Amino acid sequence: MKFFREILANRTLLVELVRRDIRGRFAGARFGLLWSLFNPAIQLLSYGLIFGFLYGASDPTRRSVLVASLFCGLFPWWAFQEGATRGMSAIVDQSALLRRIPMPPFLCVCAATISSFLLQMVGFLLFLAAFSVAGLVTPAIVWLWLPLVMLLSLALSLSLGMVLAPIYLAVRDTMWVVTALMTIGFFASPVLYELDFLPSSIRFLADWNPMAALIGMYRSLVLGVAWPEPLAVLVLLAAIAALWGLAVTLMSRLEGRLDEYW
Amino acid sequence: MAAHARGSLSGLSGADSLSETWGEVGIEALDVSKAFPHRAGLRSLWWGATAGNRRTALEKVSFELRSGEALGIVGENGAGKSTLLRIAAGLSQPTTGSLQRRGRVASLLDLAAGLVDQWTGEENARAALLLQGISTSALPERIEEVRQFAELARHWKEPLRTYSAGMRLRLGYGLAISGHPDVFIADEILAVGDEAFARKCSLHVTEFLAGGGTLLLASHNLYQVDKLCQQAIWLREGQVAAFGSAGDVTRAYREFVERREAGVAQENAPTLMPNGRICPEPRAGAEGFSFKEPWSVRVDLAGLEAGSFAVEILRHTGQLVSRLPVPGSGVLEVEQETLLPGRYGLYLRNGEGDLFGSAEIRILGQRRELGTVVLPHFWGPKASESSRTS
Repeated sequence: MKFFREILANRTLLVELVRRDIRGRFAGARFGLLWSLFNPAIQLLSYGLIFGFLYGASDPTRRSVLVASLFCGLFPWWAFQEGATRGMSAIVDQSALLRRIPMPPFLCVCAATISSFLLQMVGFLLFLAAFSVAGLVTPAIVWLWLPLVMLLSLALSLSLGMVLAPIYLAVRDTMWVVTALMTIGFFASPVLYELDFLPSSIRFLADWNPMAALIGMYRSLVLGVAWPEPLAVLVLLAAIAALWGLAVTLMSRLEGRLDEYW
Repeated sequence: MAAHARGSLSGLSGADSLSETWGEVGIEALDVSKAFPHRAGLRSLWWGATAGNRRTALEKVSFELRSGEALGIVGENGAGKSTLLRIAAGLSQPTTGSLQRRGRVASLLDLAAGLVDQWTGEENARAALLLQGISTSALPERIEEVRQFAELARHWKEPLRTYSAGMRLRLGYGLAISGHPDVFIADEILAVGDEAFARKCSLHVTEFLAGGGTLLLASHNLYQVDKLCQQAIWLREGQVAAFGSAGDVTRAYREFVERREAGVAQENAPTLMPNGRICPEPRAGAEGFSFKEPWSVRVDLAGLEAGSFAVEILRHTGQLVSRLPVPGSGVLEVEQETLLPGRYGLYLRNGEGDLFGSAEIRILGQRRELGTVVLPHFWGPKASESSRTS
């Protein structure tokens, strides 16, 4: 609760940090924001070509569903991965600032995660609009629930980033471990496939993967497929709560002691 | 409570709570200690500095600093000055003890920190002020204030990477003092920057203090500390080695540095020749000679052929102050108010440079002059008669 109060009290600072982060990312680049759309487009196209043509869904309708399904998997995953890893390194990245301005260090984590997340979600919405125009997906009234699902995915990557940030500050190997785990997580989550493709013997494992539940929610809203299992949703909420609790504990350990680490 | 007069520095430890006599602004440090873990890792993240993994940066430092006062911190590199300033600025918390700050605090500790090289001075000023918590409505006024103080002219709208260290200082200083803080914490200000800006800063600090501001200043420039601060702390290996009036503390610290340097020099001292003796003759019981009195040393050259002997007076830095010839045994007396307070080495040598005896003297007193000796001088609206005739 204390953290929410502090975030609220420092909201101008947080907005400035987010602005600074986004600006810093595109500093000197002439096409700025366009680049953050370019890479996702390329990846989406590549995966679409491989799965749609090489592995051969012969039916064109099936192909378009596949591309839309990939899109619903990839963007949430990117938002999660980038948000969590950038949040993790935020305190180290912003050490120059934290050395000079007395502010709670978790604000930097929030700023890095939020800015990554914002960019990914802007991309998501733009692609969603483009797909609607192209007829790959049909706009529906349930899309109004999307912001809520986005908020859930922000909460997940933010709390994970906040847990990882102090650990990364103390042990720099964390970065390598997390990179490896993220790769495993990418394939262990239904990003490139749908849960129905899994053999029923291991299907139940997905219920314990919070990202599976999140991606399931995006797919359910955008493509109109079935909503994730109640257990999976419960696991997602529990994971967010547990990570947040751990984050609060670790971050308060760090308070006023940052200079022990540089 | 009454023992703490206004402006007093509390003792090394166990100071009473001083809050009752407190004004509106200032800093109160009570037994501030800071320990860093030697090895930073997961264990230290959770437990902090533990018995087997601790390096003490500050130990039980206490002081109080109120409106209109300036406190200087002197000491060698690694003595804990910056750690103390960081804690005072709220960038770090003491491991034990407490530090309270009242009023708006601004700090200028690290010039490079928090500024972005690709942005112009103006953009950096805007971002830095927003980070300081300035509201958007007050922003234009504050930016203008920074611009005027920094006097960067055309560089104001140029990227920071083109700035010299002095120009960064101008911007950093302007950012720190804009908005009129009550407490200003500065590490080595004026170490860079040109003459004109140094004067401007100096003037600003003087006005700031006159206007009731509070200054906490760490500096290797003892002259600056002496001039700006009423009081000073000498930190040595994290502990308070001396505290009190800035003049006393800087003198004690200067002597310490000179003695240590002399200790290094002594290792290659020449072998002592027998028979000669040099012996200071202070008044009984005195620690040394008063600046206001003549001082004397007895030179004993018993059994030696009179010749080109001389007494060399050296500062502890090894710098020769004077070489006074002594024809034979006797008493060498030097006039009062010539050698400034401090420690000096006396060396009895012959023409070949062989050493026949050495001694140390201490001149006591407090003087405003700086340097080693006081030259006989005169000051007035026009040249004096005596100076013209002599």
